[in-house]
Amino acid sequence: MISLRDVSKRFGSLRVIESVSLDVERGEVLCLIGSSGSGKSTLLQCINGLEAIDGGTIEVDGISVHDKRTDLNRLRQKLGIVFQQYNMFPHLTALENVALALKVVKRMGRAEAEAAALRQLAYVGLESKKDTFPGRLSGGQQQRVAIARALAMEPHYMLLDEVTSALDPELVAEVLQSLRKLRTDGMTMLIVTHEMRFAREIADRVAFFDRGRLAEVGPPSQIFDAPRDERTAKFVGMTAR
Amino acid sequence: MNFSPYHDLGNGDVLFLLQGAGRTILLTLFAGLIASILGLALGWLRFVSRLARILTGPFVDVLRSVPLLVLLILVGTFVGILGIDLDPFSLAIGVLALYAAAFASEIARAGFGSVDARTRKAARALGMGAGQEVRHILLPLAARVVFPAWLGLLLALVKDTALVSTVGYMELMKSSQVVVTQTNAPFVVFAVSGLLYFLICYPCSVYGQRVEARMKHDLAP
Amino acid sequence: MTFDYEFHWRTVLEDLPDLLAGALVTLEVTGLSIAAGVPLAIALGALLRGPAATRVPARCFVEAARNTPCLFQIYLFYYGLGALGINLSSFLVAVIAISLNNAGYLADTYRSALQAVPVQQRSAARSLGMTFGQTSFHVVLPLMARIVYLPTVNQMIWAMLNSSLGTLIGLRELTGVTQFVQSRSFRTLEFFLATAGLYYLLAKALMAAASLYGRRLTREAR
Ligand SMILES: Nc1ncnc2c1ncn2[C@@H]1O[C@H](COP(=O)(O)OP(=O)(O)O)[C@@H](O)[C@H]1O
Ligand SMILES: [Mg+2]
Repeated sequence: MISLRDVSKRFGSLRVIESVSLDVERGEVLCLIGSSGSGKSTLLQCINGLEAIDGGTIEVDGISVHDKRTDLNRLRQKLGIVFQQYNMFPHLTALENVALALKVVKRMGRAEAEAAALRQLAYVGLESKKDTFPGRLSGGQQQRVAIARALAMEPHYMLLDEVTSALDPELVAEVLQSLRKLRTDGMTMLIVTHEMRFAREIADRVAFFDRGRLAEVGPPSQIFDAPRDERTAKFVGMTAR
Repeated sequence: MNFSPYHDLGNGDVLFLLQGAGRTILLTLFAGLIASILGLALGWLRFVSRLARILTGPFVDVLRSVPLLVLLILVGTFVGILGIDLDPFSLAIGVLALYAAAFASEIARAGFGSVDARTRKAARALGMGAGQEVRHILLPLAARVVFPAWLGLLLALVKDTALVSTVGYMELMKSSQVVVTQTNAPFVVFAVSGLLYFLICYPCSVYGQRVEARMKHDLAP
Repeated sequence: MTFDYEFHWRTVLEDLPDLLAGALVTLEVTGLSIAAGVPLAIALGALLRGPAATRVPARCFVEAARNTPCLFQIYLFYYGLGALGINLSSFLVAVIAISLNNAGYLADTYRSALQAVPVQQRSAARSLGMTFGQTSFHVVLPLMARIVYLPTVNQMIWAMLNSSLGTLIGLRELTGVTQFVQSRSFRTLEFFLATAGLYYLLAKALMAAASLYGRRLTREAR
């Protein structure tokens, strides 16, 4: 379980996250929606300790992320994260992108790491691109490699940050398909997305984020059809159109 | 006037010039290696620490604004005052390495700075430690970007070694002077030594330009 | 290993006028070699854009200048012209050699600057009724200046550093003067420290002077 209690985060004087409490249960798919600049990306990066927090606690399976004694590198293996901009390693082929952390973090042998990496590439349907460099892959393909790269670490949770936002419309579907597959396989996911139809389809719960605060959390039917919070209603109404 | 007295430039003289060229290459490689290591360390410090940037700034700035010849004399005098008996080769390598390190550190810093912070973040997110991230992501990516500039530095170093003739080391420039004095045929001698310099530099320079052009092409998103 | 050297700065101070006179020669060589090098670079740039008959020899010159040491080039002119019976002063030899060196390093910059001024802008200016001369002066040159500004300033600093090589053919520029006056007292360290300082100041002064002009360029760009 990922559990956030009263989490706050500032960038200088800018309050990006204010007193956010939220639980993500094992096996659950939670979609985080909200306008851009509301702090969604920052929140995800706080969860795996890429960003420090200024107040509250974040625990993953009972381990406090921002405790100095926590071995973050170890904890991060539990938390796969995929970024909006793919963030491929441009000097490595698709296969090497996926295999690198297996070799250096999980200390797998070369053959074992590459076999595992190939399985993950196959999972996202990119086996045939294993020797291709990121520069020669489409955005959608790069994003699927990024998903495979995160999955290869066998995380318990996947944090996905607007993984389709940088893609051309015709490439969105292939990435979403990969996420559907993950859901079917029971992966716990925290998905930041602007694809409302997709959120409604895949989410167990939807959380609406407004200017650093959690305005409303509930099942998709509540958030999209009968929002209780005025701000949610406005946001959902706007994006539905 | 003596335009083409080929017989004046015997096989022995050509061999002598070739040996000089060999020493020029040797000087370049030694000094280049030391400069690269020093420059990498210094560039790293300047990249990660503001304090180091402020403290080492004058060192880099001054080394780049003072002629190598003056540096050579200064260091030679200083070493003499300290009572250290350095042979010309070591002195030359020391000064050349120091001088080139100032440039190398700027190249290294630019290289580190060119790596997208998000790519580095992605590595940390996979559980790589800071050292692993540097070794597997930052260094290889920076190395690619700075390779042409680094090659350019080595080329400049080849040309800088000519100054070492002033401390009496028999590299290509000094060898040429010696042969000129012996044969009194400056055109022929300089044609040969100029060609030797050209043969050392030009292939590297062409290769560097190729790599640079290819990178511009590859890095276009 | 102890450093118990006693610095004597007084003698340096006494000879400071000599050093400054040397610095003036350094500036003269720098200024003249840039003043001659830039037009040469423009000419080379134009030749490099021309047909093979002009491009190939220009390319040969540029690569020869860039792939041999500046000191080699100075010696080549010094000993070479001497062998031809032409005896020029070391000042002139230094200026000629460093001008050609500057031209070689700047040629490709000026070539791309010439390429960068689009024909349309030229014809736009001409269509406003400007003459060829006016167009060149008010449109083409300012546009080119922006491209060549930084490389030219850098080359000017290199020219200044290279001018120290004149010492080796007997030129009494800053390094040469220092070498000469220090031999009277053998306070080599003090003298060359002072000279290093002067070079540093010269470099800064040149860059400051250049940036006065550079600021005008960027103001025009805004
Ligand atoms: N590293 C940073 N330094 C300073 N401000 C930042 C940084 N990262 C994000 N911000 C600011 O924090 C706010 C929230 O950003 P972000 O979490 O990216 O929002 P979202 O992902 O919801 O669009 C924005 O105003 C953004 O400008
Ligand atoms: Mg975001």
